[in-house]
Amino acid sequence: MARYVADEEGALRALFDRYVSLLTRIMARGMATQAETGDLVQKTFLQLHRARHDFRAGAKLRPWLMTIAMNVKRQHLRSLSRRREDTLEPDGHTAPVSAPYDPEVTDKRRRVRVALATLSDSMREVIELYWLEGLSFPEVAQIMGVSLSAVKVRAHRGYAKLRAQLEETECNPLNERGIQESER
Amino acid sequence: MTEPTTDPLDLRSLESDAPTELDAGALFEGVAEQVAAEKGLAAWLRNRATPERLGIAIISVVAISLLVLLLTGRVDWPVYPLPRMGWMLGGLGLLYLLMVWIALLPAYKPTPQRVVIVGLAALGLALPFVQGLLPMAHDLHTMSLQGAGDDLLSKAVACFTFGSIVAIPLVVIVALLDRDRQGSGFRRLFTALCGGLAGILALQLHCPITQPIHLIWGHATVATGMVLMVGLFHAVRGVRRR
Repeated sequence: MARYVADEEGALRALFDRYVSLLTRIMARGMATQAETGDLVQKTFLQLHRARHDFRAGAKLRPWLMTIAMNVKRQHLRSLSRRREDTLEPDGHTAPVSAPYDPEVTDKRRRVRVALATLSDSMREVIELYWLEGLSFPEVAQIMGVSLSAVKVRAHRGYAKLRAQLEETECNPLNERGIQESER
Repeated sequence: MTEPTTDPLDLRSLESDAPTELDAGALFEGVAEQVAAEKGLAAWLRNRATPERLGIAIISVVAISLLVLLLTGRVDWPVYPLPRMGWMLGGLGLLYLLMVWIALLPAYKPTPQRVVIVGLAALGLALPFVQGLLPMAHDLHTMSLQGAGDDLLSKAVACFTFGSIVAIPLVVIVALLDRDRQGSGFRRLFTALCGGLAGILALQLHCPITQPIHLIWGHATVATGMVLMVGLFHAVRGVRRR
């Protein structure tokens, strides 16, 4: 990042190559199309570019970038939801577009995604960042701008809700260990 | 502190084969194009470091206030109680700083919680009304006694217009300093409040009327008016885009 701030040639490409997979993964969850995902990844990099002079040498870039990404995604999802309310369009943002066909995995994935979509933004984000991206609770707290205990509470309640949702749809990949892990 | 070492929900395995592969080359070209397009005055402003952007927003309101003071300063200065003027201006100034901080909050900072946003917005809208409701600062100048009788509407409209004329350039400046041009709703709200508060600040330096009813209808409404105007502007723009 320091190289990028110093306008070094090739630094943008290096940053892009390093973080594009992570950002694509984060953005793809809950998006209907790959074009939409691509737009959000580009928006995140543009925001990073605009904020580059705020970056302090020696600071960690990942939490910085993840906070930008979560803000960009949250804003996009809110504007989608407003648009849907205005136009009464059906919700088309819960399933991936082109999953390789494996009936069992595809169905399981779909159920989990649908269950995730029923959670509040704050719970879903905690689950995505902690369990899917493997970030620590302190990192998640930093990215979301809330206390460590709030993150743990959301993780616990999120798991409980997910489990209930999945039990309702007779697909339950969860177990008590999940709750216990989030409680620690 | 517990680190995630296992994935008991088995969600990661579901994610691992999820179709998230995009054409990275095309994606990078798009990013490079957008970065290359960051040219011109507006891009220069929003690409400044955050302390510089805040500085520009603060200098702008100070410059406009000084201009108002020098060109059309209030005529009752000699009799206006100085401590009251100090905390009237101080209150509005501090509120402006708070609003501009939120309006220009960088994207790498977590979005404030809804309760914080609503609370600050309510404060920004309410404080001018609270200041207006206070007892008259003085009644020692003939012009200070106007605006409460038959001339209530005309004086209130004149002050509202004056305040709005000052507010609009400030709204534009803060909007140009905002890095998120497609901005979220709360940024637009606080941008509008920045302009409105700047307008009220200018009126405090310009208008000699101290009647509470005039301060409420002619001054305090500028912030509310700006919020409505900016909201209407974005609503119309949104409808046109569709």
